[in-house]
Amino acid sequence: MGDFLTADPAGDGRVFVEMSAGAARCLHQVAEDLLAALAPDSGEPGLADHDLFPDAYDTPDASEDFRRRHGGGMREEVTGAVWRVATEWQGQPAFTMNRRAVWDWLITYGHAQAVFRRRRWEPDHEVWARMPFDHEDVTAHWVPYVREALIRALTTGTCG
Amino acid sequence: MAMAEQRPWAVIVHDDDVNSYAVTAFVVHEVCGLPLARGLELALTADLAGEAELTWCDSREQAEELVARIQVCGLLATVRRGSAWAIS
Repeated sequence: MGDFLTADPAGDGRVFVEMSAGAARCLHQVAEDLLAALAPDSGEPGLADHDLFPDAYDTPDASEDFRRRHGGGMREEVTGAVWRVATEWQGQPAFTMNRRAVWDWLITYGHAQAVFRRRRWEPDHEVWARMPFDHEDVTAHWVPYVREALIRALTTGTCG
Repeated sequence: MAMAEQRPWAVIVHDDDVNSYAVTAFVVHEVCGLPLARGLELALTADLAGEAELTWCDSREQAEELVARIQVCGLLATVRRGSAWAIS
């Protein structure tokens, strides 16, 4: 059986997620890798703000000024969300998350591609040339799906 | 002064290969306080035109605050100085 992840509304903004053991391992590892890249041990290169956040203006100087004003707070918010996903979730394949946890997952897996693809918002014209896809490409396709599933669960009413 | 030229600051969301319609619409809905249906319209506009104006702000600080919150959610958002006229 292949890997899967499903997300269903559980009421009061909560979402029940269930995934294969392989998907759980992969997603947990992605969160740990992202956390390590955001807060690297001393001396190791980590993700710079310009790897995490796109230019906010159409000129480099204005964009750098924006990062100086906001980058620290933005990075702290992302790091906090990733830390909670990587530490509060032990990698179990089925559980219910509250609304705050759903936001943490949306933020975490919104930045997860940064671990292996810097400036991920720029078009990747080489993606098809890399077939068959390696693990990083598969992961890069998985994390948007996770976010989509969570949002569909959040915006869908319960049946009962 | 009955009328003054204002140069509001626009908050723009751009098309990218990372975020789906649903993600873009939901983030716009939550961060900008727009109805989810409006968020979907803006997501579609961004996909078709390459970008969509989410809102206009009176100050650069307000626009940057919104862009920062949107970028934290992983979207490609920018600030742009506009040239709209408004009655003050």
